[in-house]
Amino acid sequence: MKVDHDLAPIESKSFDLKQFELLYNNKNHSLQKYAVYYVNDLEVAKSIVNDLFVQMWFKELTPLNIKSYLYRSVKNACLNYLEQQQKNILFYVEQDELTELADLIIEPQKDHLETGHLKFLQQVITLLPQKRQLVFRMHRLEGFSYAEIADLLQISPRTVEDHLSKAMQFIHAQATHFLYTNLTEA
Amino acid sequence: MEDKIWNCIVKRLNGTETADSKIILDLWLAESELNQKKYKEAKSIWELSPKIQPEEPSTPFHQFATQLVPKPEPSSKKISLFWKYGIAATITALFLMTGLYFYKNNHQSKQEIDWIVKRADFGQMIKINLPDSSTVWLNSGSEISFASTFSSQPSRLVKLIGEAYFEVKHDQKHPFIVKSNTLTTTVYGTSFSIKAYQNESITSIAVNSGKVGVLGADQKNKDLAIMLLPNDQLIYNDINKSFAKSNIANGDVNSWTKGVLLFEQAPIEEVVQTLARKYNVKIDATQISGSGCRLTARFNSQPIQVVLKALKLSLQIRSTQVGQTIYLKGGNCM
Repeated sequence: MKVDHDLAPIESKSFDLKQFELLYNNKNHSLQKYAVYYVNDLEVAKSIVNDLFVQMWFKELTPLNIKSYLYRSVKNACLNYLEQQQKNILFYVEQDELTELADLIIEPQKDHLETGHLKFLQQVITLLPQKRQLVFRMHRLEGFSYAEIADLLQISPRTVEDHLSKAMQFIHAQATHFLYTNLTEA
Repeated sequence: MEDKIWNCIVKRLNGTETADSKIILDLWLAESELNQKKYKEAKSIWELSPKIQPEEPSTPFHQFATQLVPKPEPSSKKISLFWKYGIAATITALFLMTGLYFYKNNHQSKQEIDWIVKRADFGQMIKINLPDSSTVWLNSGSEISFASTFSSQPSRLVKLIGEAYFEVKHDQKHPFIVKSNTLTTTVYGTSFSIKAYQNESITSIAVNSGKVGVLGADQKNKDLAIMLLPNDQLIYNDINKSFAKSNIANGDVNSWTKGVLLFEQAPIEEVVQTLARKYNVKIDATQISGSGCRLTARFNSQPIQVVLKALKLSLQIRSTQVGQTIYLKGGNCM
């Protein structure tokens, strides 16, 4: 069961460890993926997200919209880091090229029914190129709006919609093909 | 056309349908039962996706939580304890000096130079910024390492395994040095490409702009320094320890960073290695090795099928896929 922390009532001023653990387990991985989008370095992303959670704990922060707060904080930390490093935001052309690769090789799934569907879906999503995958996750899993996603990824809402429809197209194509594509047929 | 339909599908599923998209979608649905089925499948994907479980955090919570309890500093505690006990002056001084000595040593060992390693896996290509604001493009299956104190050293030293394209920031006072296989390349501010994969006997260096100096690292070639200018390419063969210099078109030095695959009389074994790295696929070429086949071709960001087709058309090399491996057969080249 997925607990929506945005709606969980904050009863006492002190941060509940159990609640915090739930939040950490629920959001850590997706926030890391989001940070990698900006800093393109997994270790740096891990440390940014880690520091955010530590800070939340010590400052006993209980924002009303936790999800939004987490993503915005990660974004700001990433931009600060990039400014410090005087790095440009790296180009992702090669990431999009990997779509061809993703089309070609996929583990054959024997069971597609019920929970099999979910597992398959989960796996297929990881084959999407980085930006597209982020857009899909942020809309379907995190529940952000086009406008929010546009702001968090620094792209236009039109592009968000475009990524979403291309993601759906890709996922649907994978679901119907089931087995691997024959690489030798051009 | 299909892109447009999916855009309309998403608009409907998201509840942001426009008058136009509604018309287009309804027309498409009316075309066939297959289309209606497609829409239903899309709808179930859309509705199923929010139920996906979040992935596990890379650091489990119990490990992360150790940061939530502040720990006291052991070394400073040690020193203050000595002060507290007020032992005879000389002995105190002696202990204190010993304590400070150990503290300083302890503290210094934490300041060991860290080597930063950046890696591009098979199927990947990455762009890295170095601390001196030089940029490096790393090709698939390649790795570079440099010290965390890179900017404060007399030379800017980088170690390379694989293939990289460098755009080096000009700094007359601090030479930029790349160590790869057995060659050492020195520049002050230029752009050049080095290909030095560990399992290949050929190392090549090509210059885009500026001047590049290459030194052989083994005893025989220690004094041999070769100067390369723009559009020069140096090919070093580790088997017979020979150097060969040739010309390369200016745009071709870093075309791979733009997704271009370029082969010029490349032996088929080298082609296979390059494909395996770039597309992250397993290729079995045991049946065609020694065929003497060489490929001359250029591919602009093409999927692997196109390359395999070219192999068939030009060299009569057939490919079959069994499981996750591509097997190559034939090759009419002798």
